[in-house]
Amino acid sequence: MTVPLLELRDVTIALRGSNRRMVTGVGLSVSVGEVFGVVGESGSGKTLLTRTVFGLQDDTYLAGGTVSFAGRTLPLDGYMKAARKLLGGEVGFVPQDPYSSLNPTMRVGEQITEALYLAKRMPMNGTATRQAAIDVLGEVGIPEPELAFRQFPDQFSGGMRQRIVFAIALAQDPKLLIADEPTTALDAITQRRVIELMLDRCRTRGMAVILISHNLELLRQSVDRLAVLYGGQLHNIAETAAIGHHTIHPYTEALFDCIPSKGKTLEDIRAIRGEPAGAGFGLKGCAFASRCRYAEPICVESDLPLNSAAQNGFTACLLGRGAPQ
Amino acid sequence: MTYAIQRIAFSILSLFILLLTTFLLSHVMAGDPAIVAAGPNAGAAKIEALRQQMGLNDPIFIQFFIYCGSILRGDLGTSWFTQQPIAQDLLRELPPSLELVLLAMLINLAVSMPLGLITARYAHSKFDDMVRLVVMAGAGLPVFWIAILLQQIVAGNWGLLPIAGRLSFANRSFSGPTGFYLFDSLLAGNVSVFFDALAHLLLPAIALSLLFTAVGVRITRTSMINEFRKDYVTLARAKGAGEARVMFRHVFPNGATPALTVFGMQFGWMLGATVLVEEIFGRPGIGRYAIKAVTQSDIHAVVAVVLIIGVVFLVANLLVDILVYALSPRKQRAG
Repeated sequence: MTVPLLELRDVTIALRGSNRRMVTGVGLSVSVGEVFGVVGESGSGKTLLTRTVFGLQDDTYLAGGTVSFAGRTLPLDGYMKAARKLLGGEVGFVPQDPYSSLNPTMRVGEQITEALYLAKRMPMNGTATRQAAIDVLGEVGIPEPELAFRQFPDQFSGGMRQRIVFAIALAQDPKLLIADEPTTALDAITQRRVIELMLDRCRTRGMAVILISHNLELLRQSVDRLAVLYGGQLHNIAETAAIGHHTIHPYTEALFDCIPSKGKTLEDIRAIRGEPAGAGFGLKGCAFASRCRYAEPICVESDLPLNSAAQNGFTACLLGRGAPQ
Repeated sequence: MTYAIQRIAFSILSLFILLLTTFLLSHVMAGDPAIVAAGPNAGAAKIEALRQQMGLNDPIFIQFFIYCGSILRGDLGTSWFTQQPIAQDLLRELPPSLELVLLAMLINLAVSMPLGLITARYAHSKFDDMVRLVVMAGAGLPVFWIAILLQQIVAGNWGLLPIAGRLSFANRSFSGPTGFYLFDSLLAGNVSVFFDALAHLLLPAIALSLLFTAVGVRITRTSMINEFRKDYVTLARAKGAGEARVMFRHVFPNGATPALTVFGMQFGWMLGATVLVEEIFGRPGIGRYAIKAVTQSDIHAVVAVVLIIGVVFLVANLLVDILVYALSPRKQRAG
């Protein structure tokens, strides 16, 4: 078995100050070049998980578990500093909102040359750096990249801005790209185009991608494997190809039941009853039990199983539903 | 360019309102100038003749028109007390005050901007709490008390800086073309006078800047905290930028703009606040001139001071607004 690019084992994330555990016992692994999805409702802890793991969240910390990148385990002491060292080189990031993720007072070109300088020590004002930046703008489909190089972010539409943000990450040639709801702020057609372009460029370069989204349909069409988070617990890791063919985890199933599609009648589309649990549910009992239609007493009484071995397929369902085939 | 023109037009409108206010202050609020000018023993006929001569029987808008005309020509009237043209008085009193305000503003910016940025980065840390405490104390203490305390301790007990005045006795005969001693002394190549003038300026400038710095730190902090929350800061960190680069290259240029607008207004407020500081440190200047004018009921001098402070306020804001615009991406694209 090859060494996974990123491996989390029993990762627990807590708030600074109150030490409240927001995400508990998450184990997963992403291999080199894999497109991996993380899905969950708002507040399920998906953003918190990735931002904390890569040292981008100020108010939380890694309270337990281990994180390994390319076979190297990051120390728990001074974790944030060590994790930040991976950024700008090994790991790239595309944040949520393209309207605020570019510096409004810095020209687009400079934002890319800065990325090239930080990742590859290319001189910020060098001709080669400039050309590399223009090339990468062209690569993400910005028309007239020479012109765009000199422009400011507010001269671009949301879709174009997200391409620029993506260009910044791409310029650094990371091994892993984390895209946190990269298209939520965009309309449906632009969404599809940006995601397809992004995944295509990443696959060409052999970059692994973690795509975080609450949009299950989008993920099903674009990722190889999927991790499902609920209430700060990892509930399911499944191959997207298998979904719909085997019994699946009740929460994953409930999520898919919400998606309207061809051949489904209105009765087939079922909303999940009740309110979503916020992150920070802990490990005592299944966070989804109160809304699950299969729930039995054991679901609230037992501790949730952990994916400590970070296996490729996993179910946390106490009834064993959705176990990997 | 169009923005600058719009902004200047707006300033002219504000100036017009300022002129109207000062006109009403001097012509309507002050009572009948003819009675005052004629003296206590004048008869009705004498007063009436004076009134005719002073144009007080003209319709009020014509009086206003004449008033505006004379002010635009630089004629602010004659002081009842010094019997000098007020414009000449102000030309003499304004440079020392502006010198004081400019230095106080410099201190204010030099303290507020970095401290605001750092406390925003480490918001709610112990350091932030401590700065907030000191700053609140600074804002709560009266300026005159701080001024006297500084005078007593730094100048009196420790003897580090001069107690009062603009220059030492040895340099008393120094004068220059602009009245700004810091500038004039350098122009004359006289370094010892420069440092003498600076030493005399330091304590008053610190006393004057304290309250404004307290506000400045808070405003800068708030503005910077807003920027730290934005996604472009996350992206900068995700690119691998260190905290220093994030703070100075990304957050600062964006967060400084809203704060600059406040600093622009502070400039005008500071000029008005020189009153106490100049009195305590025995410095000539517009503040002291204003006190004298008020205690002597020299209405035209008071109005002229109000007018000049208002004009400085307008000009400072105009310049800051144009500067802010010039720094914005909108402008850089057009130009």
